[in-house]
Amino acid sequence: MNTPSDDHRRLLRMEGLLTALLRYGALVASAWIALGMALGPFQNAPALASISDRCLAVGIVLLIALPVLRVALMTGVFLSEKDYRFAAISGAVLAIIALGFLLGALNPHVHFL
Amino acid sequence: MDVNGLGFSAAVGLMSLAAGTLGGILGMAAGIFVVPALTLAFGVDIRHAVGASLVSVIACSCGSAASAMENRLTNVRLAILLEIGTTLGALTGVVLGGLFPATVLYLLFAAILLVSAHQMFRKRKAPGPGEGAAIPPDPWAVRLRLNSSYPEPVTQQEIPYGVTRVWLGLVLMYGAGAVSSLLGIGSGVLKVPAMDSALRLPIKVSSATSNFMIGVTAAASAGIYYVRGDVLPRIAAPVALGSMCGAYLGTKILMRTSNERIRTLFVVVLLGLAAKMFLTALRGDNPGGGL
Repeated sequence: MNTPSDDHRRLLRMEGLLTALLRYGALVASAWIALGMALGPFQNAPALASISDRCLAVGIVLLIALPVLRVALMTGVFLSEKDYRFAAISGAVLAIIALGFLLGALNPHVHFL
Repeated sequence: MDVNGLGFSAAVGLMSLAAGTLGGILGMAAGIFVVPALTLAFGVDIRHAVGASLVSVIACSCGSAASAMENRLTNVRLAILLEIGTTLGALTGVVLGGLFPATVLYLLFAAILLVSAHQMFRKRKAPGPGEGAAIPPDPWAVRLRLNSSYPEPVTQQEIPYGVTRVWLGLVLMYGAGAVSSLLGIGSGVLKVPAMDSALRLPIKVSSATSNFMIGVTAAASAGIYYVRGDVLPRIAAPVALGSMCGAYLGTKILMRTSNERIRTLFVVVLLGLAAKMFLTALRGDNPGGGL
């Protein structure tokens, strides 16, 4: 059985991992968006314009994916700690997000999804 | 206005910078100012405004959640449990969003603005020492090891706290998640009071945990908005960057101002926005026609 201090130490480790993921992830995503916007004014050069669009898309997709990655990381940490109850809880959150995404991707033209 | 134009990006970016700064000073996400500004001032369709705002909500939440976690204010286990409620709510909200006409969304937004104004106006009363004892600790909180402690930032003293009525909290989070995805706001304005009153968390823990959860809630609906094509990069990009920088500035300003006067000013701003959204809903016209 876990002693309280053991529990505390594990919690600190997970918080450290999550902090790093969120902070550096947000930095990387916003760097892509900033790059895309910096190339934005060159609309009359088609090559640059398409690179700009792609940079923006990469940044935005990264931003949207970041919290999902955070939940995935938590699931992994809970699994490695053999905390199956919380691994199941965070797995359920992942499943709910994936379900919504799949429904949206399968019916992009249905307005109510 | 031309969405691809440099002027549009610059104007939207500056507006988001201002919205993020306001939000940061008040401790709320920028979405609550971004959506009205995009729809009312820039004539963006409300669904596109919501899509862009959701992305900015994620951006702001990631930054502030990381700092709050460094100060060890976030209850990570409680957050992941409540996220079951918020993500389910977010899915429900996206489904319902297509069924409601834009008028209903404007009305709901006006109502949320009024709730926020009310919350800011009300003096936050400190919980009395006997108050927590009135409700017995939840056996679920014990079983899931949700009870925890946090270091008080001023005194660095470790303060233990218990979690009560976990189920009520989950139900309230479901509602907050639905509102968040319908309106593109972080809905911390609903989450923090819900955690305050249902779970009886210390206020600093509630707001840190709420901030941490907001990102996942917004991502659950932003993913659907994105695959559906409702996240327009040319709008979302300046909104995300602007509000992120603004949120950073706002928290810096927050540390060196007494916010009593700012608070009254923003109650006025929120009431004004609520009135404008209410009128837009009543007129029934769609300001998104310009785009």
